[in-house]
Amino acid sequence: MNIREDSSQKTIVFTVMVRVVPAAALLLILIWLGIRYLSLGSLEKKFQSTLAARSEMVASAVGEKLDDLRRYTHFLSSNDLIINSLIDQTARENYLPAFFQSLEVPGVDNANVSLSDYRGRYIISNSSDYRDFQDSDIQSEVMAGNNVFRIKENIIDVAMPVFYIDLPEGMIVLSVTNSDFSKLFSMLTLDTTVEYAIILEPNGLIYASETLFYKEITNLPETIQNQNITKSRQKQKSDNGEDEEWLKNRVNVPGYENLHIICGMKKDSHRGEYSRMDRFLVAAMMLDLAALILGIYMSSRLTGKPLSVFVKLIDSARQSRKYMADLPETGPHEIRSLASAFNSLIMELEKARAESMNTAIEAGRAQLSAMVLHNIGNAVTPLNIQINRMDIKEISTIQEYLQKCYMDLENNMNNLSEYVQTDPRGRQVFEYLEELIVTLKEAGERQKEKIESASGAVSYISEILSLQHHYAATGKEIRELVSINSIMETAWKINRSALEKSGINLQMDLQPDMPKLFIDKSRLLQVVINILKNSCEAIEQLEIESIKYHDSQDNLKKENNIQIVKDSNIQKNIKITTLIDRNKIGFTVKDSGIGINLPSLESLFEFGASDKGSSGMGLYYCKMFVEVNNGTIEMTSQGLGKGAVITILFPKAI
Amino acid sequence: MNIFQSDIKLSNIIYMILILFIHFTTVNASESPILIGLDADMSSGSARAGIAIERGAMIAIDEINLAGGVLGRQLELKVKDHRGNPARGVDNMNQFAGMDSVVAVLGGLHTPVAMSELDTIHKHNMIFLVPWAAGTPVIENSYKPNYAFRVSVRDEYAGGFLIKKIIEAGYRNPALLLEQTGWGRSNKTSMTSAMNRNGLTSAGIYWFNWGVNDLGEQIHAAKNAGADVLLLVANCPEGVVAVKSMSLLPETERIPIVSHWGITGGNFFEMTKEFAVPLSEINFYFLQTYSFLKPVFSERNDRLIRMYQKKYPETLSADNIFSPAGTAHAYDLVHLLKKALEIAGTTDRSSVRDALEKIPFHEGLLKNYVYPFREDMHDALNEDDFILAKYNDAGVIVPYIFRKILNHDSKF
Repeated sequence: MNIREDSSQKTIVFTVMVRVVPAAALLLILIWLGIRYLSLGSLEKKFQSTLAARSEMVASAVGEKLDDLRRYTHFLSSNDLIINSLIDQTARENYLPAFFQSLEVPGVDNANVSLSDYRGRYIISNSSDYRDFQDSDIQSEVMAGNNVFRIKENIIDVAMPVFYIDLPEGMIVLSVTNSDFSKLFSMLTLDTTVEYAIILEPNGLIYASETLFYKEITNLPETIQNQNITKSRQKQKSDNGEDEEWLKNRVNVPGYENLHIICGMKKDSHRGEYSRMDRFLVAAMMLDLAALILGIYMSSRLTGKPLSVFVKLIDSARQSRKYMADLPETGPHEIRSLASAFNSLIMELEKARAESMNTAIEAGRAQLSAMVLHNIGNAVTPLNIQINRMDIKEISTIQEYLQKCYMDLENNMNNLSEYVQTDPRGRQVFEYLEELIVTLKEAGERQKEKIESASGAVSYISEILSLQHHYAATGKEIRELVSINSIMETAWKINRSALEKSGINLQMDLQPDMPKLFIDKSRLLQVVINILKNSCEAIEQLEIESIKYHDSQDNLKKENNIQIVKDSNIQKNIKITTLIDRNKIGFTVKDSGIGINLPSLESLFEFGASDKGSSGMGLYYCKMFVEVNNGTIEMTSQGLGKGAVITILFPKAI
Repeated sequence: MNIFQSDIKLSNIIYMILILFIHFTTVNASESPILIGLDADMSSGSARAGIAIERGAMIAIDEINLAGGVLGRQLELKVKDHRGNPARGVDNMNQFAGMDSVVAVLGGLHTPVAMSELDTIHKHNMIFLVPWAAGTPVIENSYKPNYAFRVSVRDEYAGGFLIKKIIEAGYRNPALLLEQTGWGRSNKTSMTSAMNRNGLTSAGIYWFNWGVNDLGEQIHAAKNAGADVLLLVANCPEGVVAVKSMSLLPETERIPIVSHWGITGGNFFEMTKEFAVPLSEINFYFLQTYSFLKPVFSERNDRLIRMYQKKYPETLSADNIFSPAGTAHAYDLVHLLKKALEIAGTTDRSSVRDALEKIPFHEGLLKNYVYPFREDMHDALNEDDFILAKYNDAGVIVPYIFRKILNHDSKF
């Protein structure tokens, strides 16, 4: 996975925005809807609670008003002037009328107050048109010493005995007619949105604070009888025909068992509060969104930024080839853990890389050694051949001829002159010796040539050994200024015999005035030799494939969609070209080998990538070495059977 | 149980047997009893007065019946309770008027009730015997013939008596604290007249209603007006309020209260027990007509006490006879009625009424009555028959001489 590419396409913020935000937004909306639902319920509860509170207040106020009437009646019933007037006729006549005319019943303009004697006989009242109070039930109840509160036929009667020394001696009756109800109860309007009605069980409505609510109540007579309408909701039509939804609450007037208050509140009158609630919820939603965005931002700051730092550090390490376990282990716990784990991983990878490098170096060293031995072998073999080719028989023949000549001469020592001069055989001896001299000279020439050849082979071996010694790896990287051309020539020399043996024609196209590289020459040589070896193997592989093809008698064979042209005269060429560019220097090795299947090019330099049964360390090592030295390595091929080109370039700075 | 109590029980038994014996042996069973009505406050603020009247009347009736009755008939008392309410009194009086056997009605406490009843009384020619209602107009009314007769205090005389007593005690600037009733107004007249006669200047007249709970304002006003003594005309409940209001003043600011006798009609002493200041520390005196502790005629007094104790055995001594004036007045009135019946020889009310004016002499408990009632005078008592009294620490009404220097107050 390419971290850079992945992070550029799917950042944490992006991921959060794509994966988290929609879910969070959905959740937020659901929560918002839930809160709104609950808030609506709460608001309605609030209204109902308000209505209940108002109902209690109205009931309490109604109770208080009625209590005022009772208190006032009690005040009158215990008034000493009234008591005295029951006793004294003069006081009754002289003082009581003025007293009654001055009565001011609280909350009422036209209340009737009357005084009766202990048998209910009229004595006086504050109204000329209300002279007598005749209700035997009330009189008997009052004279039994009890207070009476009665609402009957839209008249409120409060009757109390006038006690003197523990027994009733008279009766005060305070009566309020419905014409005074408005005055009595209208002051109870506590809220313009709340209407109320006073209901007496079972007589029905005795007062409604507002016409509409009066209609509301009177249109629902069953509710008056229905104790269960408490907190019920009723829909009615207003005067203009629109639906109106009322919240209602019914409470008992404290202290008055049969007296109830029905309070009503039009929901429509609180539309503003619903709107305010919605605005508040929207504002809360916006705040939530802002909090979400802030959370995303903070999470990206807390995670994305450290990770970006990591990515930059990792990129920098990749570019500099310096794999340092130096990610800052700071920030949140997870980031610290990630950095720590990454640093540990880098350290382990670095260790593994070093180990693999050593392995590759060792392999290269072994390869180089094998190649040296191979070349020495190649040198020794012609040497041996030359030695073997030395004409021992010819020398032996010369020796035999010389032995024969010696024997003839020795046998004819006595007549040596005659023999040489007369005897045909003697004369042949000198001819023979003359030929022998020529032959010996020719043999000497040939032996000299062979010895020289052997000497060249020995010199070659010595040179290889010298090179091998020169380039022998110490296990440590030793950088120095190195001529690429020299490395190429050395590689050629080391591989020359092998190449010649294989019949491979190595061409060298070395650019003059090549700048030197500051590099480990031993390892660079290993790389070049490795590449040459791969090229040789590729050529050998092509040759093998060609032979197989030839054996199949097919003129044309398709294998893996790669065309291999059958040609018994396979070109066995390797061409090394050193390159110099403006900023880079390097070389290419072009072979006419088997080539490479195009898809395999990508993985060619990966660790363990080999289809030849080797460890695959070669090209991987080459790539590691090149990259460590800030170079690039590239292999191109036109396909199977079409050879391959490896290009290695280093920056001049090296 | 002590011996004395045992004796009382034994004497009661003997007394009852004797009454029964007389009843079954001497009275013609075919004759219905002559009824005497009693219309009084029997249960309200002056209930003790009504009960005292009832007891005095009952003892007299028992004596008369024991002696063979009147006109061959027994006397019987019918009691009705007006509770001090004139309306009840009028109703009661109408009911008595509807009873043919009722020859007279004893009416007591209060003047307003009595005043309200006068019309009914005279409408039905009902003899109205007043043992306890001091309003002068109760007797000095405009009815001819007058059916009201009184053995009791007359305010006209009471005013003169009380003014005389405060003058004797050295006070010169009395204030009047009067209930707003006919009785109060009656006393206003008599007391004002008496002060005028004696050259006194009033520190003011202050009124109150029945049922009043505080008289501090009136007392303050009186004191601010320079009153050195307070003349109180009140019944028991309002009298208690007046004394309580006075008791709330610092001791040095209190002034003496000289009261009409209406306060003795109820449980006055008991009602003042809860005060922060004991009644003995209030200079409180009141008018009385009779004391069983200091009787004019000891023999008559002792006889009545004995009969009283026999009839009401819870009475251990004369100290326990409450509202003595009511008992004494009623006792004498019933005996005067008996004599009138005897003179008239009939129970016809008109005749009996006339006969009441013709009683030449009667040895009464309070005094020897010589023509106690005349055509122009239906009050049998006068100023000479009055005394001042005070509650002692045991709540017993005892006669007292009223003097300005409190430390020199002393009994007769």
